[in-house]
Amino acid sequence: MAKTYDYLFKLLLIGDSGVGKTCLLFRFSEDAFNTTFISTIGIDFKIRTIELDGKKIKLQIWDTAGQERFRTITTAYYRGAMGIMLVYDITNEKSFENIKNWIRNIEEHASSDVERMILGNKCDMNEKRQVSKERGEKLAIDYGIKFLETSAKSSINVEEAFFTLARDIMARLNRKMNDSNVSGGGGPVKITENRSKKSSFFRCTLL
Amino acid sequence: MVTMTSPACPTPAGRRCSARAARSASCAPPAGHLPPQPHSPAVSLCHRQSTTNMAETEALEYITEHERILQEIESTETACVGPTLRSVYDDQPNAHKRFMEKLDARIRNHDREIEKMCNFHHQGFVDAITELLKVRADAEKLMVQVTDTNRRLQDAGKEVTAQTEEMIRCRVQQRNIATTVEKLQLCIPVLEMYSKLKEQLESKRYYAALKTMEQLENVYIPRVGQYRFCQIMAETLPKLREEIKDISMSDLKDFLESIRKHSDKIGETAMKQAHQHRTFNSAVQKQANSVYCNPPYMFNGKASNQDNEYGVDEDYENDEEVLTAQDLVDFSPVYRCLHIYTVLGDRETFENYYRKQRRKQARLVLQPQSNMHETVEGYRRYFNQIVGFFVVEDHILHATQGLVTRAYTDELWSMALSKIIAVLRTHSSYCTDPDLVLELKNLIVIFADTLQGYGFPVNRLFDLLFEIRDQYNETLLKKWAGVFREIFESDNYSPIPVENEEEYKSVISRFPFHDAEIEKQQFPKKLPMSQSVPQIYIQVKEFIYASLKFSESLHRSSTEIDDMLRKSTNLLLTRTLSCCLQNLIKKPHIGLTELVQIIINTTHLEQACKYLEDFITNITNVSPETIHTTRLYGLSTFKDARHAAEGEIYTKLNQKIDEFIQLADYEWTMSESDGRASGYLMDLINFLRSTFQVFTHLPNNNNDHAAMSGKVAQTACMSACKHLSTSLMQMLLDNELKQISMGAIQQFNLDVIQCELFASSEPVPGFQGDTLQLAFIDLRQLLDLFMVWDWSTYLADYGQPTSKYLRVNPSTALALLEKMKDTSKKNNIFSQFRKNDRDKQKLIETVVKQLRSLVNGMSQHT
Repeated sequence: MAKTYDYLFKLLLIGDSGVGKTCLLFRFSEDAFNTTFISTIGIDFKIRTIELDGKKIKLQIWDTAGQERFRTITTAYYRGAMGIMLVYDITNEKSFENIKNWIRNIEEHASSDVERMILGNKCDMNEKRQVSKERGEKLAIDYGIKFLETSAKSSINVEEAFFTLARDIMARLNRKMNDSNVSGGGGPVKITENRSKKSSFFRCTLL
Repeated sequence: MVTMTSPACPTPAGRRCSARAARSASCAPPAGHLPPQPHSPAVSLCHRQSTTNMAETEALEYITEHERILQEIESTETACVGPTLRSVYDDQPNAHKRFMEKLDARIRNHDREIEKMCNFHHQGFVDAITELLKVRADAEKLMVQVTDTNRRLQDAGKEVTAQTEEMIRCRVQQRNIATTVEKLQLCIPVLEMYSKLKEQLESKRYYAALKTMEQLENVYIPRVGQYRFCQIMAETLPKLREEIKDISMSDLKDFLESIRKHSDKIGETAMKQAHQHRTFNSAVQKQANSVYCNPPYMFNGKASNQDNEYGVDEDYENDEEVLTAQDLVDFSPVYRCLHIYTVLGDRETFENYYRKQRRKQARLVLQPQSNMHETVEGYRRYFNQIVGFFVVEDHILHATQGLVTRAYTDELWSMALSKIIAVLRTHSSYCTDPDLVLELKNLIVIFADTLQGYGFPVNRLFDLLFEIRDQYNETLLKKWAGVFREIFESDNYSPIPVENEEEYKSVISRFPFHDAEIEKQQFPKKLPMSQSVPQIYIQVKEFIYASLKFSESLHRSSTEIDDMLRKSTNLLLTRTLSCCLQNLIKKPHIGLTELVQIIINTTHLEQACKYLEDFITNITNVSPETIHTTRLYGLSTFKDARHAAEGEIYTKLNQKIDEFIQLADYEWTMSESDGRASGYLMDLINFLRSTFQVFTHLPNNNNDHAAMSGKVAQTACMSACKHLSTSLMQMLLDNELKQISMGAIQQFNLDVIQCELFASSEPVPGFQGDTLQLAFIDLRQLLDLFMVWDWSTYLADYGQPTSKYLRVNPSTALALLEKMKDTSKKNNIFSQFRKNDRDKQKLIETVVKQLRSLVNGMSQHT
């Protein structure tokens, strides 16, 4: 079974119900948009392969239900995530305020070295804006997290957001590699031909 | 007699005698007109007496003889004297002497007598002369008098003569005048007629003009034919006739043009009348009906909208005067032209011309505008034109004798009908707007009614309406496909929340839903179906109304309408709705939860089908128990949709599983597993676990729906496990995978154990025992075989139903073993020196042989 990718990054989308997590994912994975509001129930995922620095990277993006009642199901996915998108709706003050709660959730359930990013979605609906871009920026800076305003509907910054997160994960990975600190568990798995062979040889000599 | 007795003898005595006689004869006339006879006897008497006295001495015989001759000479004419004298000489040689004597004696006698007579009358003669002289004077006097009188008379007469001549002249003049007057009186009527003719021509009364011409030719001109002006006139008449012909023909052309212009209006009026007549009739009928029953349905406010098109002045229809074709168009040019040509004996030409022109017009009228199908106005204009045309034809047929014949109009109509049908067929097929098709249908009905009113057969139009009905239904289906699509797109696929009684009732009023348990629940509560269900139900009803609309005024029985409604509703359900549902199910954004909701929705729609049946029955009043009624196939549609949705759930799940499988990154040559299941598989198991958890804990999944979705969840879970098992097996047996180490088998075994754990953890309630685990039995036995390296058992028990490895196919085992063998070969640099390895290698080769023979035996068997 030939490998079709070099890296697998698991990303997670979290945020209040109705902020457009599914739409962002739909835009990113299918380059399509659906106006109908269908509340995500439980959890779903999409996979899209991107290329970064000549490496094929599979992004398995988990889409969680924003609704409180699915919280137990969704938090289970925090641990395996290498990157988390915190999404709020710029036309919904409450969803912005809740970002803090979501960050707390991450701190509670996700691995400590998870890459994060804040997205202010629905930026195409400027006339209904309740949260200024500046407030979003400030919040992000306060937490030391990157920030982008996006629109799944108008396809603004969606690609950029996911690519940025993927790049950050990649950078962290490279740093770790350089430190030769191969972490087990939920860490990223590099499965290039090279490395596999090396390790197998290494293990063989050990035997 | 004298002549015979005395031969003539030309003697000088005789000559003397005759001379004397001649003398006496010549003397006689001046003596007056006295007759000689009385003198002559007297003379001869005297003479005879003297002779007798002297001859008494001479022989008696001679005496008598001479006497007789003398008498003869005296009494006869000189011409005869000769023979008489000869007779004197013939008788005796001396007789003439004696005769001479005698003759002398006689002359002397006569002389004496003359002397005596003259003496006697002399005085008288003188007196007479005297008298005469006197008379001569008087005569002269008289002469003067007469002359004078004559002169005076002449003078007096002159005046008279002049007057008379004048008179004569006048008389002649008078006679001439009389003649002229007489002749002129003959001519005047001709001229009067001619001027009348001119007048008639000027005032365009051509028919009268022709009559006048005829009179002129037959009666008046022959009477005075000799005149030049009459000849000229007679020569002009044919020219005038031609002129009239031309003019009337050009009038006809104007008429034809105007009729073409007005046939629109005529048609419109005729259609309007037909429509009014109909609405009136149906209103009467409705009134009669409404006594017994209320109309079973209302067109949600749209009822009888189409009536307004023509029914604007319905209320005034009684007041309104009935306009006929004649009121709109002046037909007189045709009549006139026809009369004129008939009179001119050229009727056939006219007929031919008229028919030919009308045929041409028919062709023009029947040629629709290319964009006719775009608006109802386009169609209306088209129909108006045609109706106008045939109303005119009908009028012409009835108003003229034989200008057009029934056969001709029938033929024209049948030609038109074919053309109309072809045109409508083509144009209606362009139409995508059911409202427009409906209006077209109404127009066709009115059109057909109108023409039927004029006696044209229109059955084919009604046949066409059936075709159009099918088209209408098609467009309806298309429209409703859009409606359904929109409903499905706007649905949120979550149960309808109801906050209070009012909301609950509002939903229930739109959709037949009864659930005792849900009714018992406290508000707020949720209904099992999502909002698309009542919307779809309402739209199906709307469709039935819309479909029904077409049957109105089609003169169809309620059974037929019922049948039609059921058929089209079936089409809607089995084709359109079914198709929409199938498409919806296949949509990428429809997730598993939505699919579950769709399954629940279709169950409710299925249950509502019988209410749709009742609904149709209510409309048509046809009992559903009637043998021939078509049943609604909605049940199958929803069942199919449900199955599709279920299938889609399985497919979607399998796709997700496939995505996970693609993330698998086994290191097939690993010598030893790290004792933990693969990350991707753990993710996969977790995903399945949470998915089924959501499935089985969907809100309101109580009672039958819960059972239903529970069963779906079971099937889905089973299908997922089977798919996972198959995928794992495929991964293991993949041809591109050439070598597998025992360590990799161990790792793989760890993953399969996770799967089995999942299967046994009852991810979906309701599985009997280890049913779910059986999905992995093939993998389990295969892995066990390899892990235990239990080849002797396998081969010994092969084919027995009690075999531990019953489900391990020798070819599968062989394929996997070949990959293991290869691994061993690769390491043969070391293994060659190890006896253990050599033995192992030999064992493998033996097993491979055995397996091959089993596989071959199997293939031989089959």
